[in-house]
Amino acid sequence: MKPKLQFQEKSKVKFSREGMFDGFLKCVPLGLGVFVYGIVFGMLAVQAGMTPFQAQIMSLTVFAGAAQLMVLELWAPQLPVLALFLTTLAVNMRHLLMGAAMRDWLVHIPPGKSYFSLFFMTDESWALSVKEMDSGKKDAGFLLGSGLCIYSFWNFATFVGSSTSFWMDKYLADPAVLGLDFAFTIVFIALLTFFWRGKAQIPVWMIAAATALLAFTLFPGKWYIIFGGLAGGIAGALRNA
Amino acid sequence: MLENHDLQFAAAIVLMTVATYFTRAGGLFIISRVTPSPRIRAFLDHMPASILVAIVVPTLIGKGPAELISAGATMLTALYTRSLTIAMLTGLISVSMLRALVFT
Repeated sequence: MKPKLQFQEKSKVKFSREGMFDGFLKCVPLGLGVFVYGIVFGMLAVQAGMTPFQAQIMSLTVFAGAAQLMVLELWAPQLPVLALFLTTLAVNMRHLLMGAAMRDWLVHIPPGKSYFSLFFMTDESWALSVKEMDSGKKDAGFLLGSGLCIYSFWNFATFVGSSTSFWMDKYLADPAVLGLDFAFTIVFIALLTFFWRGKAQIPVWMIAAATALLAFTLFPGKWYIIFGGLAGGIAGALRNA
Repeated sequence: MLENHDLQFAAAIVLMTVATYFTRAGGLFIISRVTPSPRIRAFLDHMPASILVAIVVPTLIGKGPAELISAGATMLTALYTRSLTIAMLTGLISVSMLRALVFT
């Protein structure tokens, strides 16, 4: 019985070009928000002593906004290579949970496609994709498409920010004017709202919020995301078990 | 350590890329090797929204009325329209308007 059930489950998840296009297009509004921070990264990278070429290489290979901005603090003529590695690892540790959360799509398509898609997974494209998965959609191409969308915006913005920082400084010095400093929060509030099913979730969300706040005050970097996600997940598992 | 700046840069890029990809791929690598029990199932069901809660809540700390009202407006719009674009625009427009006109 069990293999048959798995076969049926497996046959439902696909990885199509249509799914990729769908993910790419739906992610464009989030890409625009990423674009602003990409410009900020490009500008700050040049100010920190990177060449525009180096900033571009970093955005093409590392492709992790928060980590890239964080390592600029450590950038110096003699690069602290080990510290750069550990900082990147710590800042990105949250992706472990996000990747695991995509299980229902990614274990049912060929591993090559899954692990290729994961290279492009960001907070934004993950949040959009997990919402899509949660609403019952079965096309894993969505994760790659939305990831490629963010990749395009981030890299184009790195180019614009690093190569034109001499005049961009004037106009983008204060993103608060357009409310863009708050855009990140707004996007994630909207995505979170889509997960609302009813009052039964309140205790789990409260535990996630309280744990995240506590970790936010105690630890540097992005550890609070991991602690909040784990606490909420465990609370949910204990309630439902 | 490495003397040449270009070599240092290359080493930094390679290690940062490895670190990032390890975190992106590692979650699937682990979870694809276990058959989820009902308890793991429930954990995976509740984790995504909990991550989003954890991302959002600390960014609201110390924010003023313009930001909090806009956060509420974004939530209500998302709830009733189910549209990310409309919710985002509502949030962005309300935060810039409130900052410029009301809570200056």
